[in-house]
Amino acid sequence: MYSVSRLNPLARLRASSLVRYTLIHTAIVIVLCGSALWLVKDFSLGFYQKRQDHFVLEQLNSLSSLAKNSSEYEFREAVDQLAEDSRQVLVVLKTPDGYLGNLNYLPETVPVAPAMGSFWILGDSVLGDERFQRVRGSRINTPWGPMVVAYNSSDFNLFVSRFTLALYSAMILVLLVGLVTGFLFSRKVMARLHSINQVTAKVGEGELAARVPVSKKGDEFDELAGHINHMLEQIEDSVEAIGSVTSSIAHDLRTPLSRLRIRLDGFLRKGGADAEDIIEAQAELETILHTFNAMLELTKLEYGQGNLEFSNCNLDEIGTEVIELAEPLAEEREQSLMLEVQETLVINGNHQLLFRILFNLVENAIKYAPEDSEIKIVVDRTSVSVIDQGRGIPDSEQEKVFQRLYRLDESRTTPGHGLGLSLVKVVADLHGAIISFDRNDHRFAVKLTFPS
Amino acid sequence: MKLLVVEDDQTTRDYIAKGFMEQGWTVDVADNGRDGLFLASGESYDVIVLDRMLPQMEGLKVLAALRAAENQTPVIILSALDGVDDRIKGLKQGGDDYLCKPFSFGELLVRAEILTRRGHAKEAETSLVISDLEMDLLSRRVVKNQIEIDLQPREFQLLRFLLEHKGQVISRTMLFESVWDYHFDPGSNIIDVHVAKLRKKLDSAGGASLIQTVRGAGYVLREPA
Repeated sequence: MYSVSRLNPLARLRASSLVRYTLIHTAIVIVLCGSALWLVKDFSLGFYQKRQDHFVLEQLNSLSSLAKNSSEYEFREAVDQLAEDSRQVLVVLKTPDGYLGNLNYLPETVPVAPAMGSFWILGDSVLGDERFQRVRGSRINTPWGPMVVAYNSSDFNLFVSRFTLALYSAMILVLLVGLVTGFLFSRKVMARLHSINQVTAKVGEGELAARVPVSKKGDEFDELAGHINHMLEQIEDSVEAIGSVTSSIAHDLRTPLSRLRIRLDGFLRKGGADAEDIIEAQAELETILHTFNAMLELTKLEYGQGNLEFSNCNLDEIGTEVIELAEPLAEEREQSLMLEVQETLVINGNHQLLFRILFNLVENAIKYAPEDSEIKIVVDRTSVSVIDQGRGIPDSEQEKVFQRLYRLDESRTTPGHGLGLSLVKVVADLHGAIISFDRNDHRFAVKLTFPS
Repeated sequence: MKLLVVEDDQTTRDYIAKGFMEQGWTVDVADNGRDGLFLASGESYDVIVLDRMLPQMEGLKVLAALRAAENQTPVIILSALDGVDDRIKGLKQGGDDYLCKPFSFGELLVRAEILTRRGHAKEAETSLVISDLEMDLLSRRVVKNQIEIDLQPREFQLLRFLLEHKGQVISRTMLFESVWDYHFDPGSNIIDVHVAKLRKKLDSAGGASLIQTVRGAGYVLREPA
């Protein structure tokens, strides 16, 4: 038998769908968070950067038109002016006799306008905790040499680095918290599953009394545990029933079986059997088979092994048929048999079984009610009753008569196997009907009340 | 008449085969469902006796396969299962009759004979006759020894069933199933009481008593010897 719980812990972890789901979930959360943060960054910082780029390109544009229309002197003046005007603008012109502007070198990696590129400068900011700063700029070629203009905002750079740091920290935090809570939840769920698994494994090994613990939360696990426990109860009941049926069959059949054996032994001693002997033995065997079948059938019905077909059953009609069948029996005892329909009763049930139990009740009434009396089947809106004028079942015995093979002392001499009322009870239960007795002087009624 | 017995228990199989051969039938046997289905589809039989619990292929599956192939050979299902609905289920799935183990050979034979007769299109009979008893199916009149007998509907059905199978021993269970259409063992002597009542009515007209009791088996409608 394959069982997950017998694998080693690591393999179990790998096989666990919970761990898998947690990991998948965490991955999805990371991707989503990442995308969200990227969007935030692009819309805020990106926007600001574009404005800076625009400013740089505008400056370069005006410088390049200035270069076309003015002398070298005028241009140098303009460059100096620009370098002095704003500390946020970095400008450098590389002339054969040195660098002009507020940068002391010309970054070669910066592309020609309108493309933008970035380069590192050694900043003099006291605000920044980083001396090296990245700035973005672009380059043009003037008749006097190449020049680069860049935008340097130490505030903005600081903001960018802080913002990025915050984003990454948030990501890592989300990841960590996600993993930890995922792990904790998985462990909790796994622990509950584990307790269910342990119980089912125990049951598998034959310990039918094991039950899954049910907490007070009433969640899905409790529901599952409830279902499993209910199932186990059913199984345990069935097993017990089989046990008790087996022993009562053994008990009840032993007597007729030994009678049969004695008879057969007799034939052997006599040196043969004539037809009469065999017929008697056969009758004995019939009785045994009948009892055996009846018990088997009761058990099957009780534990729902035969899927019964239910349809609309009209109890007036069933009553009529029962009377028709039982009439000759009643006639033999000079009893009158009547059907009294106060109101038509149609229920969803099994026709064969309803007929049988009604017939059983009528047959009992015929058997135990006095001769020359009256037996009635009464059908009303919710119930059907069999009423006779006999002494009925004593109150003290009314609970016991439904037990298998139980027979009232006074009825031991009449033929029957003591299973008739057990069948009535089982069939009534199958139809959700309640059996009640009503007994007073010279009147006994068995009533089956069906759910409306 | 040709019979196929599909039954895995050798004793039962031989018992059935021997019994039918003694009655002049030709008998083929199979000890599992697959062979049974093979034979049943290849040959033409008058009746098939089919056990429910078979190795390789279950009886009801064999039956379903046969019926799916439009093979309408009458089938008697044998079974050790005797639940309330088992019988009905067997019949619903295309079985023509259902017999519970243990059964008497006589009953199986009668059931098989009834099925073969059903198989041959019977010309519409309007009256059934035995000795001095005549039943007119159209006017629903019964005359014995030239005296008209008044029968209740169920008594009429009972007598009709016995007349249709005159000379055959009919068990109580068969009567209960065919005449009342209830499928359980009534246990008590209820059928005997009904037959006794019918017999009394018939005998009251005089002439020989026609319904005979066969001890340990059932009833037979037979001409007096």
